[in-house]
Amino acid sequence: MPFSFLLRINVVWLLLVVATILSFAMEWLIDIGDGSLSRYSAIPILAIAFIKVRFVILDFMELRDSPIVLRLVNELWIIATGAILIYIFWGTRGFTL
Amino acid sequence: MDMTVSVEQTTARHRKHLPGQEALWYVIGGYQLAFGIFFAIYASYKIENRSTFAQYQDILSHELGLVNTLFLLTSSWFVAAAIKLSRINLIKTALNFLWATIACGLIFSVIKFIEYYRTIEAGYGLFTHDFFTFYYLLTGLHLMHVWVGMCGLIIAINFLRKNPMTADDALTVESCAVFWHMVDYLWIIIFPLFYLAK
Repeated sequence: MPFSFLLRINVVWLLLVVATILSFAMEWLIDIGDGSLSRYSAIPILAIAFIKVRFVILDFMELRDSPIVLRLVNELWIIATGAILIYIFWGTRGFTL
Repeated sequence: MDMTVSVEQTTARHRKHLPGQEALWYVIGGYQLAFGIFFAIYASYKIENRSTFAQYQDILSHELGLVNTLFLLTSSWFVAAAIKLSRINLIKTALNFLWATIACGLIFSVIKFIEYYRTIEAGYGLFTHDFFTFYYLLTGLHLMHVWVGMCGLIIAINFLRKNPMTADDALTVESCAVFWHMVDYLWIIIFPLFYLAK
């Protein structure tokens, strides 16, 4: 295959598109009811978003092959931001005063 | 000879490569911190007023948000592919891919303006509710960075046209690509936060 070096980013693109449509469908399906389930769909929707971000950072930005410190800092940011948002959405109180 | 090439290639493959200029990564770090805080503040406000925010989230067109997400994801693929193609000297295709990225950025902006227009037309302005204040400010801030990213891509195109490129030129092109990917992944978080997650 002449462009086999593009295979990985092609697969990643496909995964990102499928994950996006999946999140959209999840919200749409759950919203059909009385909306009481909506708050539970927020957690998987956010988790999927941060997994997508990780793929963009590792494969599109090419941090998979970068110096380890840079990759580590970025991975930590993904985990920290994702965890904080999921924690807030899980509960009933945010960090407001 | 063959062996030399293969040894060189293997070494190159194992050498860790820092994409773009080092200084840019400090800027990216700043953006990550700032946007991380913005997202947490928005989520905190939202959670204290969950049902009202959810109701206003439905005012926005989820379909337009979806289409915009798909355009940005695809634009990021174009950039990633352009960088890889430029390394094996397929400059013409790389240039076309960068133009395609700019086209995606333009379509994204037009769709965003249609969305703003529709929302304002429906009577939901910047100060109608906290939700809309956050929405206009965060998506507006993001949109400005889409434009900065597009200017970066034009710079990248100009550097790619130089033949041959120096190692520094290649780093500049990579930096522009890295910035564009950041714009993409910030939107990947903004889309569920403002449209989907209730």
